[in-house]
Amino acid sequence: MGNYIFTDHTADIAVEIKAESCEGLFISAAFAIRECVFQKYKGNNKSEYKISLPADSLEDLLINFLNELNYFFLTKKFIFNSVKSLSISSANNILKLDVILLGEQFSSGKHKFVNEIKAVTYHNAVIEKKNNLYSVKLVIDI
Amino acid sequence: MIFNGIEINKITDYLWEIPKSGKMTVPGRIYTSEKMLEKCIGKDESLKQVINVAQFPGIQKYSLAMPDIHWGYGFPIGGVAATDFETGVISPGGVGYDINCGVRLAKTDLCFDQIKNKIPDIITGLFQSIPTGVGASGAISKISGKEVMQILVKGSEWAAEREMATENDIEFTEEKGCLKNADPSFVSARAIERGMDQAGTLGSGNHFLEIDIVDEIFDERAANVMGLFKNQIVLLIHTGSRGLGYQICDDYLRKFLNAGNKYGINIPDKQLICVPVNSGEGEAYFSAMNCAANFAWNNRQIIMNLANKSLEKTLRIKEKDLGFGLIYDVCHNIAKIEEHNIDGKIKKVCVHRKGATRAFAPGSANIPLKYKEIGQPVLIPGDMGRYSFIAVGTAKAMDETFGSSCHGAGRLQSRHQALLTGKGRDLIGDLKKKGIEIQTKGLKTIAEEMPFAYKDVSDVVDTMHNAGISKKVSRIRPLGVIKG
Repeated sequence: MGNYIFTDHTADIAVEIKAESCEGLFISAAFAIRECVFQKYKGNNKSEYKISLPADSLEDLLINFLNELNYFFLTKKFIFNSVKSLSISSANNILKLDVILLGEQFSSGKHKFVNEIKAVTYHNAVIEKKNNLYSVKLVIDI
Repeated sequence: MIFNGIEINKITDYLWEIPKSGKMTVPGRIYTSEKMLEKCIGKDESLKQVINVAQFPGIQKYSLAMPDIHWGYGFPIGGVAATDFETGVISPGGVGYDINCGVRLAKTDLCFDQIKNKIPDIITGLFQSIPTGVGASGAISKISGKEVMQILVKGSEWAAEREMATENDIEFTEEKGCLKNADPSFVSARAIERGMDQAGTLGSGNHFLEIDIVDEIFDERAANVMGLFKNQIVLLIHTGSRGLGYQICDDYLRKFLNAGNKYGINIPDKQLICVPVNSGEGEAYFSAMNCAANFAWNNRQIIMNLANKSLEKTLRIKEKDLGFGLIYDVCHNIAKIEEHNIDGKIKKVCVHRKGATRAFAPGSANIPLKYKEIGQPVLIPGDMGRYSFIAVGTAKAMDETFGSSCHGAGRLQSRHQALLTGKGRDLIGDLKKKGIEIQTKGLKTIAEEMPFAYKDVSDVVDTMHNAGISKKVSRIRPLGVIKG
């Protein structure tokens, strides 16, 4: 479900994410956020949600995407099960993210919220590429 | 001395200074004992964050940290920074996502002996009445977006109009539960949507509602004025503006991502993004932030009202015999426009308190008449297994910390470490042995919030007391807790 590891942070939660592509990094990060909110999740692909976001940098695009997911979790009560498609494009120096998520509505009998994420923060977030491996460390306010 | 590669010099036994260097425009000052500096503060990234805040355009006097300082994102938690209103900046990260997270202390006329056998029933009643946990909702009927906008303008007055607040409640809430300059047109539809079913909800994480016993009085005069006496039963509420506040902070951070280029502001951490206070962007954020603050006050007010009803029902007691009433409500995540004496001149500044409590001195404007002689009550929750403190602000706080003091114990262990420490232990049993009942949505929260995960709040409070910034009035001890 993605290559990520939660690490220690005194007040909040930190997560280190790695992937072989930038798109893969975004997908792994999405699963990390889902794990943070729901811990264990076994779901299905009943419905579809589309997300489309612009940003000036990859980091901003990633963080805005993850906060969008958190909004879907907590307010729309939609939990994604899989990522149908995710693409990052660029035009006129503006990056654009287009994502289609498959998932289902939250059901209190079946699902359980574990953490309330206030937001994924911009604190020291830098996407690095070394030896064809993308990585980023994020701090999540809970 | 050097901590984590940072030079820090002792000014007094309770005050340390990071000298101005590099891009810092003012020195950093940390209220702490040497013991706390060595044991925890000097070990994480928080001192570096004090240095980062010292680079804010227009910052006045010092980048300050209270003794409960710990590593945050951008601003340290426990940080205070005042920026010049004309030339300085306002930073959403300097307030945080949980805008007007705060604490409310209510009194009863009951003594411990009157309820000592009823604590489990009281806690069960409260847990059933007040929604807790992640995404908690439904404390009152879901309200429309239009009603949420009314809350954003009116704050606690919204609850008063619905007989969920008394005149006394309004009087003893910081800012009387309502900041002016709160225009909902600066709040996104998404933030309002998130607020529609969360008025009167506690939430999760470190938020709680406690039944406490007054177990120590340090200042009889101030305690008398507040209506506190030994063995009295009181109630402590800690929560904030819920999803509405988180969304407002996130909205404005996104809007300000490029503001650095526009205003030529160079900040070492993107989470510290800021804009001039006196700019269109600054005014818009300030107005939206005030809206969230008003939502939070109304939230704590509704919770208090639900708790009042729950206590009356569980104890089968009449309103006059319960004697329920607000002692004070303080916020500890906020930016306020205030006037302070800067180098002999009264100056208008924007005071960011991120995990710090206003602690105005006796005689200050904006504190209830009843407290004019003793100073503003400062409420400092500890952890759920030990104790919390009530203090009052001082003239020294006005001189040194822009009228600010500490806000809590501060975490010692990460949540992950706390889970490991608590593994295999009967945590609920441990609390029961101490005479503390707990009800929560999840065992994980209990482990994360156990006393071993926090500093001893008495070290924090004593530091501020000995430094003369806030003076101890009373200590309260938990008898029962509800959490998310």
